[in-house]
Amino acid sequence: MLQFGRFALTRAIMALITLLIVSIVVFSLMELVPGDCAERYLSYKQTQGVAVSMADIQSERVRLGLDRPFFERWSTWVVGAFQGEFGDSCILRVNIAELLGSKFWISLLICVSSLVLAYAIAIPVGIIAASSRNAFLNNSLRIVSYLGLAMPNFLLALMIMLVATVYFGETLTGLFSAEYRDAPWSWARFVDLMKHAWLPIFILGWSATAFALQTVRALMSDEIGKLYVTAAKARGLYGAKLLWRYPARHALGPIVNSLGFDLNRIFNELPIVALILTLTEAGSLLIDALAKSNDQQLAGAIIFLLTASIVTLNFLTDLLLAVMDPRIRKSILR
Amino acid sequence: MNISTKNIQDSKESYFTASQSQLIWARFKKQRAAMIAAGVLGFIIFIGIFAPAISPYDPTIAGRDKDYMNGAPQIPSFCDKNGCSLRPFLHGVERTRSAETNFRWVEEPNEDIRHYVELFSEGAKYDLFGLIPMDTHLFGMQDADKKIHIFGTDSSGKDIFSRTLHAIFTSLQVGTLGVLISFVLALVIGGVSGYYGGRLDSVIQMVTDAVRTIPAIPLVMSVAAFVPSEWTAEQRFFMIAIILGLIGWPTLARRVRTHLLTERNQEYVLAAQLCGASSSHIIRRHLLPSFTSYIIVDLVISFPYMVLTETGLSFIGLGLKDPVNSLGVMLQNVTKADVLLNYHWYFIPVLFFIALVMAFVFVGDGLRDAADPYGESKK
Amino acid sequence: MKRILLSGVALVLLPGAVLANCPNITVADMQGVSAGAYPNQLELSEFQSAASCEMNYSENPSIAALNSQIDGNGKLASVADRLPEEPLVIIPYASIGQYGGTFNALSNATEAGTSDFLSTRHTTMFRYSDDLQTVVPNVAKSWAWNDDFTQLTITLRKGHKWSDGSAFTSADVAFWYNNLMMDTNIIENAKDYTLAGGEPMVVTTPDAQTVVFDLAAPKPGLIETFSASFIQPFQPRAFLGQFHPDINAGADALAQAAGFESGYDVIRAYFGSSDWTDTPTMMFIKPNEVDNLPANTMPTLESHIIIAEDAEGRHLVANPYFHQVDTAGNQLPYINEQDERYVPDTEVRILKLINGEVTYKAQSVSLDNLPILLDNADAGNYSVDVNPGITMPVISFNVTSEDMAKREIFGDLRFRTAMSIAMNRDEINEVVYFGLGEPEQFTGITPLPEFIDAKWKSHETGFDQDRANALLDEIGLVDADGDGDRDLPNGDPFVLNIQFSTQAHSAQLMEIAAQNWVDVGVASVVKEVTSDEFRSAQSANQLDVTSWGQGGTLGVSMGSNQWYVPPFGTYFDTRTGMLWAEWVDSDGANGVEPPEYVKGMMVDINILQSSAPGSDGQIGAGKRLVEAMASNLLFLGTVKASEPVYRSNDLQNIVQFKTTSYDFYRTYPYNPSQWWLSE
Repeated sequence: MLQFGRFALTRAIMALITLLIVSIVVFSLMELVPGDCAERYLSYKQTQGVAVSMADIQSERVRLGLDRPFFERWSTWVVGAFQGEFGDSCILRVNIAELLGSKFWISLLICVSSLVLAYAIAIPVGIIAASSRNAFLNNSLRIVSYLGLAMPNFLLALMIMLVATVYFGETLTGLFSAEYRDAPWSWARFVDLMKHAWLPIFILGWSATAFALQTVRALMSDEIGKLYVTAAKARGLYGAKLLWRYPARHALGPIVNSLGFDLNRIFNELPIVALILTLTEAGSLLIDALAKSNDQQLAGAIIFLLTASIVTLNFLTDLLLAVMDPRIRKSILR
Repeated sequence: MNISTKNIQDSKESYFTASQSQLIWARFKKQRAAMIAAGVLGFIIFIGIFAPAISPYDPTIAGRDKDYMNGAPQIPSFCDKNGCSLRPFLHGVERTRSAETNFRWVEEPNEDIRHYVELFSEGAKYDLFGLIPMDTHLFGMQDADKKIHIFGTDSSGKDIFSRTLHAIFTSLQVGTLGVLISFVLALVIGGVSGYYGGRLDSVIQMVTDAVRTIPAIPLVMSVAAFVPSEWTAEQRFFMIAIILGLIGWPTLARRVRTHLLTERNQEYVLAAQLCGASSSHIIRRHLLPSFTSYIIVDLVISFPYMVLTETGLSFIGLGLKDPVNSLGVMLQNVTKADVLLNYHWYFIPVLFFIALVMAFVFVGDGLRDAADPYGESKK
Repeated sequence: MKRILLSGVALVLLPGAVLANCPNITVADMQGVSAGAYPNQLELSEFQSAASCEMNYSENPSIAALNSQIDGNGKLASVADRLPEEPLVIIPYASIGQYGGTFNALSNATEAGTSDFLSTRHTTMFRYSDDLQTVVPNVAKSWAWNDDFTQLTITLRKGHKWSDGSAFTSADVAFWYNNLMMDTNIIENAKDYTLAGGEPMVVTTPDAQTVVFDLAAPKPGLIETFSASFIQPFQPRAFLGQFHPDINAGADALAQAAGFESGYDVIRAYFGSSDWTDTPTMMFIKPNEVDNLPANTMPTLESHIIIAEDAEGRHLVANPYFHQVDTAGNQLPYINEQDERYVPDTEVRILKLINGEVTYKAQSVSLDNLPILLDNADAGNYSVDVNPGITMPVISFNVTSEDMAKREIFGDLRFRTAMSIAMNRDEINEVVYFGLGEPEQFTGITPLPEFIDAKWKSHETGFDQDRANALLDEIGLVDADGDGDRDLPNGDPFVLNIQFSTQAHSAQLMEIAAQNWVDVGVASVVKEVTSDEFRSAQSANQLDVTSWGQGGTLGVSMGSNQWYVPPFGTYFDTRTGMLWAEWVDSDGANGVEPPEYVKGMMVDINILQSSAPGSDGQIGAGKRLVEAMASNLLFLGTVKASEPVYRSNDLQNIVQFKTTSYDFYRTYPYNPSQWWLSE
């Protein structure tokens, strides 16, 4: 038990260090990109047609604190980050924690829902695909799910929106309808959110399903051929009971392992879809901060929160796996 | 011994003496879906490699057709009201646009004018495989002033068929590079991490996790900033492909490592160690082949992911853009409301893209099934 | 007795005759009333005497309800008390409007793509009328210059009130200048438009309605700043001043009681440290502290005031104290509310436009969207006008390139001429602009004023490949190694390194130009980059060829010399001659000395800026500037495109704009306050 506790502690420390490393890397990557917050902010103004001089840009930089040395800026930021205080966004001029507020949770909700949807489809379909002899069923199931992979998300989103606009007169944008936009949280607001969020969940879920399906099918195929399955068949088990009791449970081990990173992958795809569907949540804010405004504070904050979620999830799944799978437990405690 | 017994004996012997790849190929051949997919994949790769020869025109702005912008696909016919002909031909068209037509081109075909299509026509010069200078194209128009567009044209008059073929080639190149790099890195790092375990494993895992969490966008943006401005757009993108490979290895590495953690306690590993085999020998000859299936699946699946990542990045303004030809760029051109509503032929490269991805995926599945040593019992 | 009776009746009747209501004249139907001193508007006294009437005011029936949504506003007085003693009478273009409706607007983000919506409620001292030449009064009632343009006197309107009902006086203008623009705690480096001859102005207020600006050097362009830009040279002294330490000794204490660190913090949070009116309000940046403050946004003189703001958009209602009325005495604006939504993605914006969800949009709508907009115009109940623009994409060569061989080539006028005539502008016009544009050469000042010869607009814009080839041969760019491309005189290959950003112009334009140049043997490598990469490469003098949208009105040149002094553009435009700029800035210590014609331009722009508008000095300088710019082809003009304007068919009293451009501040010259929505 003590050993297990030590294992858990080691994992926790490693998770923390990972968080720090990623934050440094992201922060410094933003430094390397040409055009800082001051320039971008003022260039907005330039597109509105006003003349801006280099002196204006420089004083804007000083105002935003961009002329302080890198390490100083990063350390003040990271210390605040661990307390949940992310400072102000340099472009939007708002306190980031307030801006992100419920948005990050909504993004997480969408991503997790997509993941759940993906595996809810992939696991049964993968098991069927791996064990069934019916080639037609096998192939058609696979074609439908892989289509989600092949079709780029943004194209799918745009096509759906187009059909909705042209044939139904509804642009399916936004996460809330007008009445619920600024209202406080309630069951009705949650239902309204679900009515709008089904589209991004569907789009992201479909492409995630393909990846998950591949994985499940591969793992199941491996396990089904193994001797213990043959032994179980010899003992008289068959059908779904056989599948579930033996190979499926073992195949699922690696899947649990990769949940954290699946979440990361989905979160990487979310911004582009969110951009098209005009969802105001953390994903589209992130893309704006990274690709358009070089808003280090905002981008750093969102990535920090995301990394924290993934790292936490990884930590939990590692522990879970160590509990579930005695082989891993043994290896670790060598 | 009679002939049939000998044959059976031969085939059994050949089965036992066959190498791994021969076994895999034998099993792969039996799966219909995978063979079809392999055929499609092979076809697409072939036309990508021979793109300059098969496409009738230069895919850049130099090869554009000023008289046929945003034009619909032209399929040559053999017969019309004036009779039939062995050689296929197109009718002449009059195109106009003005404020009355909302600036959309309106066509008036003229049934009395015929323009003939010929095979192996002479056209723009190119270098086959980058080495052999040639100027013969698979097909073209007899009259050098007229052009045939079997997939239609885009808004500046570039032939979509030519663009698609060249785009396939560019995307294949980029994908291959990225996948190779991530593959090699994943094997090495995951292998070491999984085999040795313990503290080394913990440290490597931390690094792997950190790399895995870094979002692609700021990484690509900052790399793009470092690239010298004299490089062409394609060269710059190879740089990005390399970077994508460098952040793509963690997924496979983690799987490799997990698998190794369990496999290294198996008896055959113990046996090899007792025989005095070195660690690297054990990893290479014994452990790695045990999950060839994972590797193959991941390799083949990573490929379209590279291309998908390229399209996603290009969409937000990084990656490749016009006038470069890649599937990602052509996808960008489709992602406009106007195009989706009115110029549906821009979608054709998307179909190629989908076919390419699906082919890769089905081939991957097929290979995985074929490579699985325990899979004898099914199919 | 009869006489008394008769005179009594007369006394009763006569005033009745004078007290007739004012006729509801419109620009379309003036009903015989003579126009005032300025087009499309009248001062109250002018109107009443010209039409022999007395104006009776009426108000928006919903104004009390709208007022209750404005934070910090008390009960409303009657409309006659809310208007100035002499409100500005705007003559509606087509019809007297009906109150009501919500104006739906789209912007890209909180501070991006907003200026055309901002201009619909903008208010400043003066305005350019819709002929884009006459300056007319707005907030100000009148103005006067002294003889040598060193003193400007502005007269305001008595009884003019801020949107919270407090009085608007000259003290508010002085507050804006002395306590905001010149206070380094709020604006660190004084903005260029607040200085004259590099020195601060002296702003004095002899009485509550008079403001006097004393300038160190003549600056006729000061009128431009107060009429054609987003700047509003007044801020509420009573409201903001309570937080200003120089005005209220207890400012900091007051600020701290509300949860801020100091009075300046509060002012910065309200004012945004910039005269832009789209900076986020207190509601957005400090939602927790805003309830402790007297109002959630500053009082304004604009036609609408913000009442709600978040990350998705803003909502505004009509200002109950707006100073304009129409000819029937109705207080403007007609439109009750404005709702602005942010949509960053272009394709989604287009979808919303074709779905008819937007009332008006011009910015960020480009010509290539024209077909799809026109297709859906009937279903979406909107119209699209196409008007000429003012800027056009220009291409320039790096005349102070680091590569000496290229520098010599680019510096040769024959090369630039050859490149100009090798470009097939008609092809570009046809492919990129549907043939709706005008091929034109870059003259700096656009539109070209009448006193300048129009021949410069078509200088070297013809398409002549033979002559181009001959010129290139002449300067020594011949094909030495037989590969089909020209090489430098020293034998090295000659390849142009072209980078551009699609924020400036479409990719096709550059593709076609590059192909045209390949046709005369000049090879190039074309690459699209982001705007930031373009700007930093440009600043670092690394590019061979640069391009952007360039051009501005005569008024702009009167205020700023950026087009005629190296590097001939701001950081955010296209620039050339970076090393000449260094020479100028360092007074000859570093950099490369520019040729005579550049020095001549620098002298002439000074003359232009300090001469009276319309004087011989200005005309002469203007002619010389255009000649120098166009004949030396520092910037090659391409095609002056038209830009579309989208408007809902429900929007009334909107006229076709003369130009679709930022200059003159977008919709401002066309009296957007008299727009109204029919259902």
